[in-house]
Order: sequence, then structure tokens, then C-alpha cells
Amino acid sequence: MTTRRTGTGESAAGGRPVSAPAGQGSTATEAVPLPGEPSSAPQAVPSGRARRERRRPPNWLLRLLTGVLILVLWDLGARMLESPFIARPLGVAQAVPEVFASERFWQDAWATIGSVVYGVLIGAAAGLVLGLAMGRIKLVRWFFTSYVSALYTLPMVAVVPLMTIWLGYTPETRLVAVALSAFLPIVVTTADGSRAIPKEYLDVARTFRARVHNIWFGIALRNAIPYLIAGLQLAIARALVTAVAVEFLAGVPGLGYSILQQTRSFQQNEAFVGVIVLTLFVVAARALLTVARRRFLPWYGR
Amino acid sequence: MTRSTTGPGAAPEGAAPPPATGPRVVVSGAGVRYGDLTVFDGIDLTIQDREIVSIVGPSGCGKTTLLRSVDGLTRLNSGSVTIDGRPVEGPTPGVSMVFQHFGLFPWKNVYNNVAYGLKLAKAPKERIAEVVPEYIDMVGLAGFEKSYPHQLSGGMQQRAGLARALAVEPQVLLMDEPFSAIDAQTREVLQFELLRIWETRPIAMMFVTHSIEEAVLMGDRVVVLKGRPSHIHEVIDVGIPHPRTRATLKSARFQEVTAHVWDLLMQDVIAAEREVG
Ligand SMILES: Nc1ncnc2c1ncn2[C@@H]1O[C@H](COP(=O)(O)OP(=O)(O)OP(=O)(O)O)[C@@H](O)[C@H]1O
Ligand SMILES: [Mg+2]
Repeated sequence: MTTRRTGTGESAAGGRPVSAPAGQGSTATEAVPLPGEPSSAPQAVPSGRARRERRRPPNWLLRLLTGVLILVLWDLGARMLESPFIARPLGVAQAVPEVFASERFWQDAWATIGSVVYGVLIGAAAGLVLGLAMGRIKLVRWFFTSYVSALYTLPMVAVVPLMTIWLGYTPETRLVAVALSAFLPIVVTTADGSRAIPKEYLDVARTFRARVHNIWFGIALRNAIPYLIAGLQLAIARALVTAVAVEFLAGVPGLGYSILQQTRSFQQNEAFVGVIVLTLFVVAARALLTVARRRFLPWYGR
Repeated sequence: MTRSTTGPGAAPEGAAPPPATGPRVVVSGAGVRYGDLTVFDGIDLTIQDREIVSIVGPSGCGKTTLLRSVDGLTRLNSGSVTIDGRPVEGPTPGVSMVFQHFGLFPWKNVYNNVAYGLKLAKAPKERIAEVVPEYIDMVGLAGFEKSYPHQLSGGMQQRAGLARALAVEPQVLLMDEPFSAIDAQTREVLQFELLRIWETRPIAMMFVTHSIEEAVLMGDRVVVLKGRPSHIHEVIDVGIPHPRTRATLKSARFQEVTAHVWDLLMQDVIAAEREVG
């Protein structure tokens, strides 16, 4: 009775299942992948052979060369200007051991990065709830959409001075500002993701008599995950900008504040180390998200 | 409709299936409107237990809409559908649907996709663990339980869609062009596999298709929808006993019925061409 997977046509149809190892298909990109309409149509899966045959260009090598080129141009430019106040690659490199040895630096780094991590977590959790509600409940959507999009376009920096009135020149101001700036992109993307559920999924759910909570948490939320990840990519970058801005504007101790102080006292090399560490943090966080997306959502393109 | 459901080879091992219990699905005076567009009107159709009714008709004549209203996904504007005597007011237990687009959840593997209906019906864990592998095996997907839909060919995805629909052990199975997105060879394989599955557990089936051959091969009766708004133009008794095999495709009766349905559908196409020409 059981006819095994020897369907004569099936192998002809290229139907061999491909054990697609997640995240092997391409290289890391820093660009934010904005989710399109997830398609439920069967997608062509490159067969194992095609996958192996595709020669991957040594991207890491190109990137390394680009990096070296930038450093060389930077150094040449600085030499030509002959200004002692311009940081140069070698000077920055030489400053690294000293900076890394200082306890203060790590305290500052953790203060800033920690506020971004916690702020994004808080903002994302809240954004997920409102986004899901906006995606699934028409009334909530009508009520909030204009406010959310207005706030979304507002640079958080503009309200930081106001926040200092309410919360003082404190790390709490930074945390709140960071959380708010992460909250908005998450609301927007999650609302899109939980609203744009392919009709097919809803038909299947209804046929099997799914209840509202099955649709919310079993389908809407799952469908929103790629959107959420795209939102997090945006949120982390925005959050860091806000954290540094608050430190500049409100003098809250952190890496941003140190960078400002060091620049003012002509320690441009030391300041640059801070800039690089912040950059590396964002790059690493976003790469981690890309890896997570490939690992957990392998069907979702690249 | 005279036919025997228990042809040679059709008797499953173990207990004999319960005897046929008369009409399962009764559609009477059914009509659906979308604004000014009346899709169909006055549809009367009865599907007996253990009967496969194929539905054919030109694109846009409302085949999907009819199936969806039996499934309780689309509301009728007039008339009624009853299943086992109870009026359909929404998705009904005991009714399953196989979709043209498969409708598998990409984030669930084959096992969990197949288990979906049982989980929503709050079936006990032990029962799910027992039933799901059985149906995965039945549709020939054993060994692919952990695969995700994107790792499967169209044919295999629809096998999973079929297993999901069967796993809740429905009395009525609705199929909306289940094989139309699948290549011709695989399609034929799946047609006969579906017939074999149906023979071990004969249930009422509505089978929508654009393929006349498929309609005749699968159906005990073929319903031809036509007109604007569309109505039942003719119901053809296929009169070919089960089990049906590849030899059925070559039989004189099969050719005859196919040619007849073909004529019914082509009349319109030819008329339309004349109007244009
Ligand atoms: N939700 C809807 N709103 C408005 N019109 C609809 C809706 N669903 C279907 N229709 C219309 O109803 C008619 C019948 O559609 P239906 O999908 O049932 O046809 P079909 O016979 O299944 O066609 P096909 O063979 O192409 O699948 C079409 O004209 C379609 O445009
Ligand atoms: Mg249709």
C-alpha cells in the first residue's frame, strides 16, 4: 500500500531533497535585508551538485584588500596634510594596547554597549507586542499607525534634551532613549510581518479550526520573525547612534562621552580606538542576526 | 451511480470499513455573490459516502468558491450546505482540504506540518505520535519527517499536504486542483497513489481539476459547471469500477467519458472563439 518515494516522475522533477546547510549559501552582508512578501510558492532548490559546483569568490580576500587600501589612503592623506592632530592608522594601532589595558575604557565600553543591548531588548519586547497587536487588530492599527510613523521619522536626538529634564543627566536617560529608538523600527516591521500573513496560511489554519491565539502566536508571530530580524538590524544601529548622542548631549559616562573628551584633549588616536570598538560591536551584532536568520529561517532567501 | 467500492484488492486488512452511510455532503440551491458578480447560483449536489465527485469547468466559474463554501471558508449568499445533515456555518470537524498551493508552513518540518490538524484538534500526544508516522508513510514520505518544505520538490510537498489532510481522518476530503502545480509524471504517480489510499479508506471526496482526464480517472461522477453565473451543466456517471489503474486510462469507457466531457467544455470555448473571430 505504501508506495515509497520511488515516484518515477519525482526524481525526474529534480525532487531530491537537499539537506541545505543553513547559511552556507552566501557571505555575510551588512546591508539590512528588508523582507519582501514571503512567498509560499515552491521555490527552486539548487541541487546539491549545483551548490558544490558554484565557485565562491574569495570575498574575504577582497574585503581585506579594500580595508588595506583604505588604511593606505588614510595614511597618505594624513601625511600630506601634515597635521599632528589627525589620527593615523599606525598611531591608532599603537594606542590600542594602552587603551585596552585601561580599566576605564572597558567600563565605558560596557556602559555604552550594555545600554544598547538592554535598550534594544526592552524596546524590541515592547515593540513586538505593539507590532503584533497593530498587525492583527484593525482598531489598534488605526489608532497607532500615524503616531508610530511620525515618531519613527523623528530623530531621537531631538528629544534627548527634553528627556534630561524628566530623567536627569543619568544613564537612565540613555537607556530610555535607546529603548525608544529601538522600539519604533521593531513596531513597524513586526506590524508589517504579522499583518502580511499569506492568505494560504490562514486558509489552512481556518480549515483546521485554529483559534485566535493559534493564529497570533502560531502564524502571525512566526511570519513576523524575518521582519523582526530586519527590524533588529535597524534598531541596533539606531540604538547606538542614540546612546552616543545622549552621552554627547547629556554628559552621561560611556564610550561616546570618552571619545568626545579625548578628541577635545587631542588624544585623537585613543578616541579612534573607541570609534573602532563601537563599529565592531554593531558589525558583530548585525552579523550575528544574519547568521541567526540563516540558521533558523533557512527557507527565507538570503 | 452504480458501482462497487470493494473491488478486488480494495479490502483493507483487519476490520472491514463501516458500511457506506448515504449522503455526506448535500449542497442545495447554493449561490455566492461578490458585489455585482454572481459566481454561481442554484447549485444542487449530493456527495455520497465513499464517493469521489470531480468538478470541472472553465477558469473562474467558481470551483474553488464552491469547495471553500463546503469547507466553511466562504459563506453562501443563498442556499445551504449540510454535512451529515448539519448545516455548515464554518470549518467543520471531519472535513479536510488539500490546497493547490500546498499551504505548508515553511517553519514546520514535514512531521509537524502533518501533525498540525491533530494538534489544533488537541489530540492526545500518544495518538499524534502514532498517527502522524502512519500517514507520512502512507504518502511515501517516510524518512523525510525532519525535512522542511523548502527542501522538498512540489510533488513531495503535496504529499505532505495530503498527509496533513488525511491525518485528522476526515469523512470528507476536499481537493482543489491538488496536482496542478506538479509536473505531469509526478502528477500521474500521485493520482494513482491517491486512488490506492482512498481504496483502503474510502471517504467522500470532492476533486476540483482542470484536467478532464484527471476528473474522469478520479471521479465516480464528473460535475461540469458552466455559464455566467455558473450552474451545474451536466453530471456524468463515470461507471468505471474501482480499483482504477493505468489500464483504466486505456479503456474504451474512459475514452468515451473523457470525450464527452471534453465536448461539453469545448462548446463554450468554440462559441467564444466565434464571437471574437
Ligand atoms: N474573495 C473574492 N472577492 C471577489 N471576487 C472573488 C473572490 N473570490 C473569488 N472571486 C471571483 O469569483 C469567481 C470564481 O472564482 P473561483 O476562484 O472560485 O474560480 P475557479 O473556478 O476556482 O477558477 P480557477 O479554475 O481559475 O481556479 C472569479 O471571477 C473570481 O474573480
Ligand atoms: Mg480555483
